[in-house]
Amino acid sequence: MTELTREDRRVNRKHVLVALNKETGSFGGDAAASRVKAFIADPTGASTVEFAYVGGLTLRRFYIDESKPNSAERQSLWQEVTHQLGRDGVANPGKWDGSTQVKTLQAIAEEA
Amino acid sequence: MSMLRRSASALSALVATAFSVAAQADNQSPTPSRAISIDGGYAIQLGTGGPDKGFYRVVWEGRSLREHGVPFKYARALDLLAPALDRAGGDVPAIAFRYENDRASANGGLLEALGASELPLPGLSQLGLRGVARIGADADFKQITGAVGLETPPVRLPGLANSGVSNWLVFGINAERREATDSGPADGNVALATFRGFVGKALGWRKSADVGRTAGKLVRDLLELAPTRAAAITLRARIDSIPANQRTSLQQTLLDGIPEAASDEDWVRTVEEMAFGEADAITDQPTAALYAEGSGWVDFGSDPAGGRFKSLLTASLDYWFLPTRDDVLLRLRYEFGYERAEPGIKKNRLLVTIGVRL
Repeated sequence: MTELTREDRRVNRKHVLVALNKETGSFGGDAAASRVKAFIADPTGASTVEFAYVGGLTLRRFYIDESKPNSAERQSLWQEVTHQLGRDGVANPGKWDGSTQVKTLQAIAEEA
Repeated sequence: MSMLRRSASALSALVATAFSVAAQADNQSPTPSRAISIDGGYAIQLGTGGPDKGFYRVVWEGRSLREHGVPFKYARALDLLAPALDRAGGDVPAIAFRYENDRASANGGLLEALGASELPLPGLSQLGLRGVARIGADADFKQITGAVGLETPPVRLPGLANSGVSNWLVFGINAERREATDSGPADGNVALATFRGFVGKALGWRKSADVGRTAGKLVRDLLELAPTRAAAITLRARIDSIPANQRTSLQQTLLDGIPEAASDEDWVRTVEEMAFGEADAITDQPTAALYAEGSGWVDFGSDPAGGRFKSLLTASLDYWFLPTRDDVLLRLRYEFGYERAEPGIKKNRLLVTIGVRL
């Protein structure tokens, strides 16, 4: 993975959360919504605990249904995540699904 | 009647398994890792849908727990440098043992189970459109369908834009090829206009395990292998060589923690904070999830059987009835309408399922 600064990684995490919200309308459920919104509002000023918390959320918390995101939804999410990261058009390496955590999807997109 | 007894027996065995698993709650350290899925239940046909049927399904994902790393949930000693379990991704497990005794798939939809693939098309991102491709077959493999098309980005359902409820509506167009495996005349190409919508919400959030103890385990394992920031940086090169989609959650946490630590002196505190945040997230557990999905298509073929417009509505309730387990659930699911892979069979049924995710 390319060496990214602390600020880069936090802003990229925000982009992934924004992409998830655009795709699902959710901020990860009632238990996480206020913390996700606060992180999106100020990713570089958030504490390390909050950085880790939002990174530990699984995609399923946004998609609710255990069988989601399905193939079409994964492709749609990938397109939105890479768009948010300013990396339009990079190929999706796959091997991720609803049980994947935000931090992992971020790393996949940063690495792709 | 004997079918009912067998189904009841299968269900009671699953419930017994679930409670046996629940007895190990003290050892729980929940993570998204899931290697085995077991579902068993009963499909109640409504209207003139035919006889009721019991069903069960066992899916084992991954090659070998020992050969390719151990899911954190059951790890006795974590190997920080071992790649993650090579597990399924998405609808179609890459390597899986799957057994189903009935067409009543617990997640509904042989359509997805048979395979669907994203279709990255250059230039679409500028238009905001998504390329999609899918392949499906009916349960008897008498007809195989393949389709490619375009979909819009998701839009919010009216009134739910800022509700925090998961919801989306997507429209698309598809070109579909239908191949009958046992007769040529049924082959053909058709154009379809499609839509799919979803609304869902998880309720009753609670903790499925103690956050402090879960965080403590993470801290111990991380600091054992990377007691200092310098040691973590040494490990980073090796972990970085593992593709991001094959890393374990713990490996990614370590990589994320390195830039977070401002100095060597800051390392232990940073690890503790990272572990607490992670533990806080993975122990969040809803008590129930309620969700519904509608999808449909308009067939522009010359003479589609049963009308040009067909749709499928599903409504589901997932209930995690064990207070300290996030991997045993009761599911009620109602299905009404047609699946794209089987447009000639109208569903109208209620599925009752006990599921165990290990």
